[in-house]
Amino acid sequence: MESNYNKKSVLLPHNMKLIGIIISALAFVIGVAIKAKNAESENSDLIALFTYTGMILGLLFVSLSREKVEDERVDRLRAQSMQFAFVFAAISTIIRPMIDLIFGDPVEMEQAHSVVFMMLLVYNIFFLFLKKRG
Amino acid sequence: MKNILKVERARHNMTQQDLADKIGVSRQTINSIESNRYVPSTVLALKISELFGLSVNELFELDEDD
Repeated sequence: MESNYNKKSVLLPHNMKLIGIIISALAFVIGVAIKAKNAESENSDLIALFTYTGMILGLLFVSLSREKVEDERVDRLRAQSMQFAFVFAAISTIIRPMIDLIFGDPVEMEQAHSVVFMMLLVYNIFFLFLKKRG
Repeated sequence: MKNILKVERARHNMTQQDLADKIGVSRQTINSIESNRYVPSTVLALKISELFGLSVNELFELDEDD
C-alpha cells in the first residue's frame, strides 16, 4: 500500500537537509571569522545580519526538507516540535529582558532575526530528539 | 490504546520493516505503535487491520486511561 504522505506534503527534497546544514555552518564560521578579524568594525551590525540570514536560511532548508519516509507520525512530530519552538521563543522573549534587568545589563528588545533563528534551532533540535526517541 | 500488532506481525512472520513497507510508513512508526507510544490514525489502523484480515476492534483496544 502506497502512502499519500509523500504526494501531499509540500516539502523540499531530502538532500536539502545536508545543504541546509552546510549553509548554516558556513554562515556561522564566516560570520565568526569576519567578526574576529574586525572586532571593532563599523559594519558589525551588517556582519551579524548576514550571519543570521545565512543561518536562518540553512535552518529553514533543514526544517522544510522531507524525511526519508514521510508519514503521519513524522507529521505529528513536526507539529509537536513547532508548538514547542513557538512557546519556547515566546517565553524566552519575555524572560531575556528580565534577566538583563536583574543582572543590570542594558535592556534591549529582541531582534526579529534572533527570535526566528532561536525558533528554527529549537524546532530542529526538538524534532531530532523526538525522532530519535521513537 | 493497546494493540496486538506485535503478535499478529509475528504470526504472519513479518519484520517491522516488512510491515512498514507494505503500508507505506517508516519502521520507527511501526515500533512506536507496537510500544504504545503512538496511536495511529483511522486510515493507518484500517490499513493494518486489512492487511492482517482483522477488524480494527480486534487489533486495537481501548485502555483504562482512554
